Amino acid sequence: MLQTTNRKVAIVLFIVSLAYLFFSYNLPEYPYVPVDADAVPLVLGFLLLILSISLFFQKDEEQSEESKKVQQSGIKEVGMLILIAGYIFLYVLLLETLGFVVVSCLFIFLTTITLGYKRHIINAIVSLAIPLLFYYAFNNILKIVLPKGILPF
Amino acid sequence: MSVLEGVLSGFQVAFSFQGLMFIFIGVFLGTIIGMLPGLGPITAIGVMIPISYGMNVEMALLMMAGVYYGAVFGGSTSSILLNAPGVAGTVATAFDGYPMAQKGHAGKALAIAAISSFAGGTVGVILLMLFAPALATVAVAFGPAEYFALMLLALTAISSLSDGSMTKALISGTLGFMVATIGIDGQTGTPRFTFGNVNLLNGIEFLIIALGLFALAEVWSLILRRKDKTAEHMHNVGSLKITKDEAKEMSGPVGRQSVLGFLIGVLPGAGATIASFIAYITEKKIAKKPEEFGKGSVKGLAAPETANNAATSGAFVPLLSLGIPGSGTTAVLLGALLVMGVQPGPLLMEDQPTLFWGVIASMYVGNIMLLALNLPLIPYISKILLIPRAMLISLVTVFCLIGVYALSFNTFDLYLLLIFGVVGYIMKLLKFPPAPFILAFILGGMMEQSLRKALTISNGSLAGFLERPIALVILSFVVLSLIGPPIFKLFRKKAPAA
Repeated sequence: MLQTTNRKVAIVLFIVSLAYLFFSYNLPEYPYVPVDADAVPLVLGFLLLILSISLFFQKDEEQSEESKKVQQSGIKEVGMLILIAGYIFLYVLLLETLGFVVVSCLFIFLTTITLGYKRHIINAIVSLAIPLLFYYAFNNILKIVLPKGILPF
Repeated sequence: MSVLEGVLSGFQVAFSFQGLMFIFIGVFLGTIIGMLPGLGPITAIGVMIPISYGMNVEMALLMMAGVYYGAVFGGSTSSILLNAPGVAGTVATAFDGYPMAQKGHAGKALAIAAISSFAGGTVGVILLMLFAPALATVAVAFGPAEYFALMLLALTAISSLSDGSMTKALISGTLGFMVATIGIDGQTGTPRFTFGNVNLLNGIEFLIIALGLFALAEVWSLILRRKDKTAEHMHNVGSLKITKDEAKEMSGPVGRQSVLGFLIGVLPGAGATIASFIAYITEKKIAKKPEEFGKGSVKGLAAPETANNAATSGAFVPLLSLGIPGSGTTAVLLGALLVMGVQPGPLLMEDQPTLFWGVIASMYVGNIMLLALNLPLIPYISKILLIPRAMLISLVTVFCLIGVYALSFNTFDLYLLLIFGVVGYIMKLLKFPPAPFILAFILGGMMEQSLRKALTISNGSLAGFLERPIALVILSFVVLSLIGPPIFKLFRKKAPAA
């Protein structure tokens, strides 16, 4: 039943559409409204349901360039993707406590090293300069205040 | 004052030394602001309003026109170089602009974008001068039923024309529409699919989806490819050279889309966005080699760039002739005009002809200045791509994160950005095209509102659509675009046998 990629994806989408329909049916109804808030979501839910069934019965196309690349790159590179995603998660988590400049500086420096860039001095200069430049431009010229965090300015 | 006299007096102001200087300042600042993700023309003009206080009205207008065009072009730059469309109008630019830049022709891609924008903008302004009052009446004739039909057409057309499986394209579009339904319903005030989360009540910002599906998804892909050698064909990355053949190839789409884009721009609503997508779709449909689209086609880049600029001029029609802004940007511009003591509307042309023509002349000159300023800068801007991959990846990521954060000051949105970045990459792996998703997301809210308004007017009956000839014609195109391709396929299969 799950031989092809299309079938696996179709089943996920089928479940998504059922969940979406469930929540659409549970939307509150109002009297005297010709077209209520649930009308369009119901149409969309059934549309996805039909499309996922149709996908289930379709043959797989040729593999995408990207998934070939993932297979070639191997498990270590896929781990790298997850690691960088983890860095981004930490960035967001710490942004408001440590402040924009500190977090961005660390993020740029560490990500660049992790991805294999070896010239550490250039890396350090860039990771200091860019966040400071952005911070100054946003706060003073565009008047969009970025989080200050632990820094005094 | 006759039209000619008006135009001449407008240009007199614009070509004075002071005038040129202010346009230059405007274009320069506008381009820089526009290049930052999330900061498009709306923010750029908003930021400049306080600066224009106390300035001579004509000079202020000239500067604003410069800022406006500069910001629009700046947005295309980040689309082409980083696959990070900052505003909805430049999403279609990334489809072919980014692949072209990746092939080592970044300078050329930016030059094509600049020239097409210039052509689109210029034709748009000329059409605006000629037809503003007449077109305003047409725009008013477009009711909710017509809008709904037009947007549905844009959506089905892009799905039917995407490469690969049409089912996948339609699924992608449906999912995009579903994401658009998150938040408070505009008509009844019911919170939908928010699961009690306050952050979702206002729906999800466009920028989160655009940067997630396009820029972040591309970041993952760049990580895997960071060791691939690119240096060899990147050495002439800044070269602006456009060959004769390419210029010839551009001329068709530029000519057609500047007129079509303008006409779509006149309709209030998502002018530039719909125009750029429709331009891309129609050019792909009529192209001799549609398979080149999405891989760095000259036509695929020129068409949306021409259309979105022509549409921005078109958007001035309802603003100047009726005093009604049709888009977010023209609404901010209306604010800027009001601050300067200019009241756009039917009387503007009669009461203050110098100002009316001043605005139009300033748009024209702003456009020229944009080309003059940006062409020489392109070689430097495109060098961005020569930054080592490892560093470029981290910088682009921070760029996306600040863009989204500066919009809402909310880290919740940043988590969403990360989620959509992952979703975008999975879609890429499984060959689900992102274009229908983002278009459905942009249009979804508006489509739902127009559909429900149309149905409310007809008291819930679908027959309302049948009584409106324009809507009916557009809807029949929708049906054609859905059943057309499979039928063509059948014919093609049968043809060789016969």
